[in-house]
Amino acid sequence: MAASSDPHGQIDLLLLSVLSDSPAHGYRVIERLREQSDGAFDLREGTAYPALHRLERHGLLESRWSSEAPRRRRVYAITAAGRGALEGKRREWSAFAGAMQAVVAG
Amino acid sequence: MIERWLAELERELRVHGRRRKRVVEELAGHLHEAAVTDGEAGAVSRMGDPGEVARSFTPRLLDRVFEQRDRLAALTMLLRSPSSEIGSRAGRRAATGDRRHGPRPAHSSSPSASRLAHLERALVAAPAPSCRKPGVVQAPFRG
Repeated sequence: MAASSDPHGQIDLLLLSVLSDSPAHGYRVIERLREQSDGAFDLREGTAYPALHRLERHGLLESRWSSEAPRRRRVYAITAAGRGALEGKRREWSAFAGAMQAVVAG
Repeated sequence: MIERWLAELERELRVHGRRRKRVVEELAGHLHEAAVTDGEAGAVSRMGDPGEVARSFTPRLLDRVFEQRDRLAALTMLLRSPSSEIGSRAGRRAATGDRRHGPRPAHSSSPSASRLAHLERALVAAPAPSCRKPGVVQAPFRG
């Protein structure tokens, strides 16, 4: 699948979900997303960073520099507020997917 | 190629100070890491147009308005808090009639106190960022 700027408008839900297990730097976040979706969500990389910064500004993520060799990386972790938001977004998604399924499946 | 991409990003980037430095360093790190497996051309291509990426870092107007509102609300609370250093100092000055320095107390009838109260009312009355109809399942297309 071609690189996407925002898979189905769900970039916040996807980013919070992949960071809910453990912290990761941007490059790894994008890799995880690709791996966990079997390549279906191949996020355009220039889209991921502004979204990570926005989620951090809103208090849903926090970040720090990691000085592991060979270069400094910014590592993102989900906050308590982020976990709360993730739960809400999961519920919204489930309700939406259930409603879609009911209509589409007939 | 990576350096050219970063130079173009910096030209278009409308954020400043530490945040600007962080954005550039973070994206440079990503591009160099991606270049190891995809090559420089691949890394740059996957990142997208530098101008578009730079513009994505500029907070939307609505975000800026609400961030500003949060900052003002926090400042108002700080100034009004009797236990805060600023609040109690201002209170002591007001009690002794010293109004040469610093903010005036909240109960003062001075023009700045009334402007603060007016600002606070306006902030509280401002609409929430999203309005949803209760009981309606909305397509969660925007995060």
